[in-house]
Amino acid sequence: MDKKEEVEEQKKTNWWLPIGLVILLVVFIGGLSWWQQNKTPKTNIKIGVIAPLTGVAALYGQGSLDMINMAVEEINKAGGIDGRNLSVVAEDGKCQADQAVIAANKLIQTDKVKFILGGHCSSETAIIAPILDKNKVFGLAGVSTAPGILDKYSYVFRTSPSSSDQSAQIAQLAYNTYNLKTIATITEQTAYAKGITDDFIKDFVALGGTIIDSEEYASGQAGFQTELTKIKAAKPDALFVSPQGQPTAIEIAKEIKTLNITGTLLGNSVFVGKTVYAQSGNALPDGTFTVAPYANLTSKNTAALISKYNAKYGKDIPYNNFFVGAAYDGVYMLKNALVKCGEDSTCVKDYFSSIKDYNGSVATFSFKSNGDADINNWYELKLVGGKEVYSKVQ
Amino acid sequence: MMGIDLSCFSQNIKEKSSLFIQIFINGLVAGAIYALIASGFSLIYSTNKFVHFAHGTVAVWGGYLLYWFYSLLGLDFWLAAVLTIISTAIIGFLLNLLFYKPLRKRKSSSSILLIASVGLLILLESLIQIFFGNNVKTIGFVQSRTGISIAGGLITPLQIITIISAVILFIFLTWFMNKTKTGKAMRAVADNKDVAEIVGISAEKIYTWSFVVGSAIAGLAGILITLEYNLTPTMGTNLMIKGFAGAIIGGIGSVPGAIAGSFFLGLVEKFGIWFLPSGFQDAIAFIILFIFLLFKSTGLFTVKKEATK
Repeated sequence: MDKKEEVEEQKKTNWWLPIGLVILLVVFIGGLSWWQQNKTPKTNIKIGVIAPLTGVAALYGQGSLDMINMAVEEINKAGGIDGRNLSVVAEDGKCQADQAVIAANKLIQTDKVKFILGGHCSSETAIIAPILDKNKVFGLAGVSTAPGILDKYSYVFRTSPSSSDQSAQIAQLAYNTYNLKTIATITEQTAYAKGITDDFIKDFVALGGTIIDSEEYASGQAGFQTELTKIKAAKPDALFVSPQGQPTAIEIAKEIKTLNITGTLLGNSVFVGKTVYAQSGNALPDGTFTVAPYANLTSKNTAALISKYNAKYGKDIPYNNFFVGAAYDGVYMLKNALVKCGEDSTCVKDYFSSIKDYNGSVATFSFKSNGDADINNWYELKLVGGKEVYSKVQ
Repeated sequence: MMGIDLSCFSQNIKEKSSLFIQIFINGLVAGAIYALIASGFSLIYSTNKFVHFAHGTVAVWGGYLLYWFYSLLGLDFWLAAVLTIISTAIIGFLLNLLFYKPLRKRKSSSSILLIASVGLLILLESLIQIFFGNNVKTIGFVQSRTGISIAGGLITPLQIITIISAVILFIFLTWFMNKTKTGKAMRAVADNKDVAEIVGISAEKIYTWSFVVGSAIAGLAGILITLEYNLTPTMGTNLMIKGFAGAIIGGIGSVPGAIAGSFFLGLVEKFGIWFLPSGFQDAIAFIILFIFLLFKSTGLFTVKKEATK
C-alpha cells in the first residue's frame, strides 16, 4: 500500500467513528425514550410533578415531592384507583420559567400525562398554567401564591391561597396592631416575592401607611448592603423583606444585623422562621413577624402527617408545614377525583370546582372560582428568642 | 429659627457623608470579592488564552470543602482553610490534566476550550448537588454581628480581612509575576508561547502552574465568600460573571489589572444604585463591561505596547 492509498484508507476509516457514534446515540436516545414510555405498566395512571428539585427553592420543592410520593405509596398500597396504581413522573422546574416550560412540554408530549401536580413555585405555575389549559391537562399547583396567575385558566387549581389574602393580613397587623406607620421594602424580582410585596404596599397604603423606600434585586445577587444602607438612611418604622429562597433570606438577615438596622422586621414566609434565624447566626430580632397559612398543630390529622413524614424520611418537614403538607392533601383530592372521573381531565377539573370543605391533613380546603385555595389557616408567626410562636388570626 | 435651620443642614450633611462612607465601604467589599475571583481567572487566562468559565465553581467547591473539613469533619478552622486551598489547587491541576490538556493536544481552538469550560462548570455544580445537596449551607465560624464604625460607616472584621486579602493578593501577584522565575515564565508564555518554548520554557508546565496557582486563589476566595455569604451549588456562575467583568475592565490578561478593575466595578455598582433603583445593579456591571469592550477593550491597566501587539 503506498502512502496515498494509506491516507485514503485512513480517511475512509475516520468516517466510521462519527457515523458509529451517531448510530449509537440514536439507538441510545430511542431506547431511553422507549423505556421511559414503557417502564410504567399500561394500567398505571401517570401523575406528572413539576417542582423545584434543585436551586434556591429546592427546600420546599423536594419536600413537596416527598409528600406526593408518600401519598401515592399509601394509595397504591391500599389498592390504587379501582386496582390501577398511580405512578409519579417528576421533573425539575428549578423555580425558573424556562425550565418549567420544558418540564411541562415533556410531561404532556412525551409522557402523555393528563394530570400534573405543579408547579411548586409561582414562577413555574404562572408560566405552565396556559400550557396545561390549552392541552386540557389538569393542574394542581402548590407553594404558588402570586396573585392572579390562574384567573384565566380553568384547568389549573392550587392548594395555596393567593398572596393577596396573605399581604392584606400582614398589612392589617402591621398598621393596626403594631402601629407601624412608615415601612421600607426589599424584594427579589420573582413572581412570588414581588407579587406579595406589591400587594402588601397596596394594602398598607390603603390603611393609611407610608412606604418610604422600596428596593428590588435580581435573583442570584450576592450582597445587599447598599440597598439596606439606603433603607437605613430613610429611617422607616419597619422593614418588609421578601426573598424567593432561603439563601438570600439568610444573607439579608445577616446584613441587617451588620448595618445595625433597628426597626421592626416583617416579611414573607421565606424570611420569617427559625431556619433563617439559626442559619443567619441569630440575626433576626425578637418580634420579627409574618402572617401566613400554617397547618393547625393541635389537629390530629396534622400530627399524624408530621409523624408519618418523620418516620419515612427521618427528618422534619423542611419548610412551612401547610405549604409542603398541602402536596399530600392534593394527591388525596386528586385520588377522589380519579375514582369519580377516571382519566377524564375535564371531569377532574369540574370535580375540583365542586370541592367544598375537604378535610385534609393540613387544612380544610375549598376552591374559589379562579382555582385559588380558600382556606382559613391564617396564623401570625412571631420569633421570640429564635422560637416560632404562632397565634391564630381571625 | 436660623439656628434650627443650620442644625438641620449640618445634620443632613452628616447623614449624607455617613451614607457616602457606607456605600464606599460596600463598594470596596463587593470589589474585593470580585477581585478574589478575577485574579485567579485572569492568571489562568493570561497563559492559557481561553475563558475558564468553571473558575467560579472551583471557588464554590472551595466553600463546600471548607464546610466539609470544618463543619462535618470537625477539623480546626485554620487547618481546614489550608486543606481547602490545597484541595482547590489539586482540582485545578486535575481539570487541566484531564480535560484541557487532551483538548490542547488535539489542537482544539479557544472556543472549543471555552465550551468545555462551560460543560465543566455544569459538571462541577452537579457534583456539589450530588455530594452536598441543594440546601443552603452556612459555616458558623464567624458570628454575625454589628459592624465596627469607621467614619460613620459600618464594616465587619471579616469584610476588613476580605479587603486586605485582595490588596495583599494584588501586591503578591504583582511581585510573583515580575520577580519570580515561574512568574516571568508565565509572562513569557502569555506574550508569545512559541518564542517562550524556543528559549526553553515548557508551555505545558506553565499552563499547569497557572491552573494550580489560579485555583488555589479560588480556594481562598471560596473561604472568604463562604464566611461572608452562604453556600449554594449554583452561586459560582454569578461570581464568575462579576469576576470576568472585573478582569475585562482591568485588562484581560493583566492579573493586577483584574484586581484593580474589580474594585472599580464594585464601587461603580454600589454608587450607581445609590441613585438608581437597586434592580439596576447587574445592568450597571454589564453597561460598564460593554463600554470597555467597545471603547477600551484592552482595559484600564494594559500597557499600550502590549495592546498594540
